[in-house]
Amino acid sequence: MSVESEHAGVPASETERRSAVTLGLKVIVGLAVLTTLEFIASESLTHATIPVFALSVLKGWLILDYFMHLRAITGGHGDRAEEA
Amino acid sequence: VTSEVLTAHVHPSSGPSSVAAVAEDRLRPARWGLWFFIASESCLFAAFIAARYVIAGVYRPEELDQALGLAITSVLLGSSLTAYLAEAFAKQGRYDRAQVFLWATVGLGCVFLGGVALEFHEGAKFFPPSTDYGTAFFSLVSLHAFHVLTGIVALVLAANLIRLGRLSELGYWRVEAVVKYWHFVDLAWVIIFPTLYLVS
Repeated sequence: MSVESEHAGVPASETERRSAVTLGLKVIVGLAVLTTLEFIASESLTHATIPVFALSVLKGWLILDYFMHLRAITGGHGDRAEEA
Repeated sequence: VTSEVLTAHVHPSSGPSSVAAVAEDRLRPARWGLWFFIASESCLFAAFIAARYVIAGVYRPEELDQALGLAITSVLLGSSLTAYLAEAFAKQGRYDRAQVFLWATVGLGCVFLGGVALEFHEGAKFFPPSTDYGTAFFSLVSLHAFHVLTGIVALVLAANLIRLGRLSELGYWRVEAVVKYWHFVDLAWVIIFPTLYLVS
């Protein structure tokens, strides 16, 4: 996302907007898939604790990185919409 | 922070980028403050999650409604998408759209709380708070539900500010902060869900 559009109220391009929506959809699909895998693992595996928590950590990372923009706080590339 | 105030701190010939840079500088402490707050809240949740294993081990009652747990998890994950879209539109100055998504997030949050209430009603019959698992379940879910409730209040306040037209062109920070808190609540549930519903 450009600095101008983000901070000076200049309307962002349609492409930028679509990228943000696409990224959000990709992340939510990822979260849904991982949640389903968690559920299946807990039902089918005898010792499911570690696989289930590994999947939870993955879900947490998706939320932290893509939804909460964790990297932005350290000056990294926080807004990932352009990558979508 | 208004654009006029920001403009006064940059050179008169400076363009929007300079104004944006000053705005970014001013928002940095606020962002760090929010992250410290989230970190401290994470410690609280971590203590409650650890207590579940100390009190009840990995025991999980057969009567626990996993389908309901999965349903409310899906609702909360869905609310993260609407919150994300609210933030994205607010950043682009599309406050009308942002308001719609904020209200959608509020709605999904209320559905989640409804599901929790249903779960509590069922849980009280089969694993009351006096049992080991009940103690862990009710304390952890109540703690989280309280955070959801405060998140809903914050989302309503942000949506109301937009409705009243009281957000400046840089007021997206208020939306960003509320949405970030909401994502944290979602993140906490991502760990709580397997802790209570899946591990056995």
